[in-house]
Amino acid sequence: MTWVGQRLPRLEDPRLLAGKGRYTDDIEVPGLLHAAIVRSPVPHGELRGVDTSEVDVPGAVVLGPAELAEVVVGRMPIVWHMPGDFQVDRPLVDGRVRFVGEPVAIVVAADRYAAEDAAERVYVEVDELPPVVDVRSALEPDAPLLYPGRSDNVMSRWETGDTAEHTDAVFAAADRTTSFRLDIGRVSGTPMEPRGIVAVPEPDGRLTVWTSSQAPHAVRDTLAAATGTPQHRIRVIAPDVGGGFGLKDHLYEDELMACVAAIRLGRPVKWVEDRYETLVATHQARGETVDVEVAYDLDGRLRGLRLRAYRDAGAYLAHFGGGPLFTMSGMVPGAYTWEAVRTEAAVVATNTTPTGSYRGFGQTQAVFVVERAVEVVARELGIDPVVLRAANMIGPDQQPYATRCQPVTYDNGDYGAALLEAQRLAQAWPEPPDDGRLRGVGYSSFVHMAGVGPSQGNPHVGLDVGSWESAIARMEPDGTVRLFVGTSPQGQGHATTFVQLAADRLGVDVADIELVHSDTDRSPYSAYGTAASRAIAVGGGAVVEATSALGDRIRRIAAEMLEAAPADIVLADRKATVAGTNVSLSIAEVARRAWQGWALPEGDEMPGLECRFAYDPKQYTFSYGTHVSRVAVDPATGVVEVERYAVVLDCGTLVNPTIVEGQVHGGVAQGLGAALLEEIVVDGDGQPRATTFLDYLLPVSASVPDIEVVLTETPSPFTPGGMKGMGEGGTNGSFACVVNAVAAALPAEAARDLVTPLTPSRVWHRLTGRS
Amino acid sequence: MKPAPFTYLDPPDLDGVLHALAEHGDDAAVISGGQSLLPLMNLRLARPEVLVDPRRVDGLRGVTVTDDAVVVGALTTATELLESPAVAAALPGLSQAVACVGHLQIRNRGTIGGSVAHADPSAELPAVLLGCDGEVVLRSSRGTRTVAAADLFDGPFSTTREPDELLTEVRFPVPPGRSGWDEVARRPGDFALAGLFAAVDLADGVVRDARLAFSGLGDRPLRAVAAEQVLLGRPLDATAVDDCADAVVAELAPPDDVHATGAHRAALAAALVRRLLPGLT
Amino acid sequence: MSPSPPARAVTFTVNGAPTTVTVEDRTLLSDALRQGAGLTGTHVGCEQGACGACTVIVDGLAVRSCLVLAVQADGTEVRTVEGVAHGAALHAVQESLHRRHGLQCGFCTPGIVMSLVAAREAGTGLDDALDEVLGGHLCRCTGYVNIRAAIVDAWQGAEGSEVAR
Repeated sequence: MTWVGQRLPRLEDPRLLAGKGRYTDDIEVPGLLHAAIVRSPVPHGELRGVDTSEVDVPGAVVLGPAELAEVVVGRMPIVWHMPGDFQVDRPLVDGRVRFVGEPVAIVVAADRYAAEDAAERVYVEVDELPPVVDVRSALEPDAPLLYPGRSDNVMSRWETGDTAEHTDAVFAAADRTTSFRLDIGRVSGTPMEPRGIVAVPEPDGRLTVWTSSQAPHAVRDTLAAATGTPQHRIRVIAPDVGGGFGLKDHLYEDELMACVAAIRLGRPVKWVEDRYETLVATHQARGETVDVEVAYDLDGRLRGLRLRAYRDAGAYLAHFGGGPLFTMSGMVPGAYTWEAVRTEAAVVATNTTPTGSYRGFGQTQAVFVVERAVEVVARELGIDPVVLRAANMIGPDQQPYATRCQPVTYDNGDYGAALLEAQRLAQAWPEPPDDGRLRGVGYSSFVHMAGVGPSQGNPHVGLDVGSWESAIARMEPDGTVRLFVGTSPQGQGHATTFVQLAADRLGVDVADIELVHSDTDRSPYSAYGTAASRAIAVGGGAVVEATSALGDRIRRIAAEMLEAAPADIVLADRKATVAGTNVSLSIAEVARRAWQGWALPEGDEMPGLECRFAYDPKQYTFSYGTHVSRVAVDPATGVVEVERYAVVLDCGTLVNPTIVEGQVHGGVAQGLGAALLEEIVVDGDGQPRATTFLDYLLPVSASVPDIEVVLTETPSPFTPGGMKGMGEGGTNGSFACVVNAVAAALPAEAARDLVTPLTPSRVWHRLTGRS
Repeated sequence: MKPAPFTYLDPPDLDGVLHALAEHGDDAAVISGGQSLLPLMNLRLARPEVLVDPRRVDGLRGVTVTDDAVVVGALTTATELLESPAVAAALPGLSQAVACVGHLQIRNRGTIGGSVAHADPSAELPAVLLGCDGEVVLRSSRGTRTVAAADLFDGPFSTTREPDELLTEVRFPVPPGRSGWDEVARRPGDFALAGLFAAVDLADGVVRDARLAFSGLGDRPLRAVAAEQVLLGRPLDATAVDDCADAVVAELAPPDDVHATGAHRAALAAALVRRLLPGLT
Repeated sequence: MSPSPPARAVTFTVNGAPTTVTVEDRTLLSDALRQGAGLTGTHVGCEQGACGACTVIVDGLAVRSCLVLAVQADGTEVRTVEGVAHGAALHAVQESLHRRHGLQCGFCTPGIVMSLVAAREAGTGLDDALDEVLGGHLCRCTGYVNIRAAIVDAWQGAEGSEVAR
């Protein structure tokens, strides 16, 4: 019996179900003060300071830019730089405000109610400047500049893939070319738990910080750099985290302000975001315009793909800089063979909320672009889009496959098989009723680069941090185990899956193992944290190696104690047994011996029972799949219902298939939401218009049909344990899939230039041909 | 976000409530279920200095159904109204509309009187009241008056209720014939992009009375009077329904906003006519 | 300087235990439970009534504790997620969510548990539980598929069984 592969109900559930979860806002310490943030009411201006003369809340303290600058002597790092990026880090406040909602000051009081009373009496003194609120305006020659030392609002620009000359030649040689534009709407990841932080100055002079974060070490490092505090004097702990999805991958300015307040006042300070603040200040995502050109032959062969892509960065580059758009441009070839793929990309600043990481990190958009290209070409040729895909897919015998966007090289996989399996699932769907609604079936096939990633390559792409992971496996004298990892869960079930991996290699029960994570004092270093579908592949890889090594040592010591050969020792059911006999010891007895430290085998004399392994992947992992959906579009109203949905996903080793399915379900819902419902809107004055859950519409249960998930398992040849990252495999496919299904129900000409989300208004206008 | 400071009063009887409203005037707001008011207060978009809660007053809850009207005490919750089979039988359009209000958990506290008084242009109940030619009873220390729905809603989130008046009762006269409600929402439970309360009375095979009251198409509920006229004296067949739908589009001119264009909303109104009317024969 | 806001004592029963908290008039029930009574199992996700994370049961009805003033709850019976399980024994609703992987990050879960517990006790049918009851909750992690499966389990498994309460 192995633990890996079992659909084990999660070990962390009973606590969470009983309301015993401990999220950041649940943290209480004696003497706690509560904060509210003062935010810029205008989108652009010179910040002169704050006027606190009308604050009338007893005991409230305001820290404005001047007070903050006394503590924040350093800068907040940005960890991914494209060539030519000027913004490699940022100060906390630099004399300008650049978006409505930008944090300017912090108010601390006895409770949150009082802090808000005080905060609304703090007046932000700003000399307003004209704003630019969209990329096109920001690129106008006489546009107001967010960074006056620069000549324009371009934050980052690059080209990937083939040269212009080669691409032009391929386009010229092809039978036909076609073009269309995609406006990918801006979204907000909105985990159900808002951001939050509790900063506690300790009696010994250290600072303990509790925060809802995906990357406690990144938070610590930024906090240390910004305040000039040595890293070893800061402890960052992420307690239970209610969802992250990328946007909790770094320390934010408002969170930093809460830490500054704690440091300056010598008192613990808690700040928790409210939902208005989520929708205005938490980093958003996407907001891209892509002009797509496709070159193809009349027999259906895809030849060239050329993109001009812009991303709205918002007011400044986020923690991972231009990473999402860069990733899009690298993964846009998709599952197909092309002769030329070229992207010219630019990230442009506007006076809006910054955009950063969100599940998919550019791969959702890459899949969207190439899968729309396939659908548009198929429609122009009048052939079945499934046939067109299959004819152009990279075959399993062509793997490993070096795409046109080096250094991306896929590892293994049969993309066509996944496509055909998805088609079989769709063909089994019952015919829809004749209810006057238009039906559309859409597919999306994709390759998912995950398991980020080989650290050796990072400096070459401008990434300042490593992307390896380590694990320490320590068996206590009684045979129970503590497993220390650098990654952090926000609902992915690490406390179960990592423990399953370890239990198999140690011969103990899952109940005997505790996962220790998300505490910079105890967890091994991880600058990247949980992101990029890397935890089970990279973190799990480290766990596999560390626990395998520990298991080997247990076998050697047991062999010594049992006078057998280590190769004959089997670890299972909490026992070390000589194979083929009933001669055994409990693993606890072996552990006790290891910690006693005597009579240990030759070469293994160092006492103790703990192994560390740092795993730096040599390759990314590439999982793949196909999504298929059917939508019903009401022509009278434009309302779209997703009626049917199926996913075929090839993963690496499936540690816990139920948890994998859950990740797919949630990712599908997020892609569906972005395709149909979710839209961040900023008006011409730079004022956010989607500021509550009544405007920003998340999928509800009725929005998401039951999802058929077929998982296949192709272990990675590289990852210890064979895992491949898949956490984004749901969202990467679903955005394109749902849009393709709706587009299939629209007239061809109305399905070329698309704007997402496909709201009822947009759909209705396209169906009726009215502008 | 947390609400701004206020004083909460829950007087033990009606006189106490009316006295508190008279005393505080514009500085006070009435809170009943709080399901519309508290979201605004939690954003500090509404900041009354005094909240007057009538929850201890007797006689403001309950539903009475007669042949002529459904009379609802203002503090009756949406859930309580939905639990009345008599309402569902007498005025199905009302029950169907209330079933669309928010979510179950909101309906457990939200009141009929509160929803009418809140006058959200996208809300169901003001449109139903208008469609029934209904009225509300307003009481103050100055006396009691009855206000017809047509005179009650005077703008977005605005009624002609004076600050010192308490809405105590909502009367829905039952229109002749059959009634129904339908709406188009982005997601179930959302504020509708457009909603329709319709009632049609057929006699000798032709329409004798028709009501069409819409939510979500303007700054207050709207009666499509001209479109109602188009149905009179005709059988309720597909042609009549189509003509009526076209007339609705011509008569109402909804504005563009964040959620939908005006042209789209007009189309939604027409779609609702086509969806709802055929079932009212 | 304006004076400190006046405080008042509010008494209600929470999970069967009489509880008095000191609150301002404006204190939301969600905050009174979380800070005043120290019961942090009820979570705050929007303070608009839209997400459902704060759902508790007041006098038998599932309501949004962010849209109830603590003073309005004076004299009522309040039940929160901490009072649902019996020691280590999970309620049928909780057990079903566990078996079906109907939670991931767990933040929205207590509100869903309370709505489902109230529905079970009110005799709500399965269709309404799936549509009307779950329809009042937002979840960002699960995509709802497994939550629906858990509801089916809890309703079908509990027909006449002792596990249901």
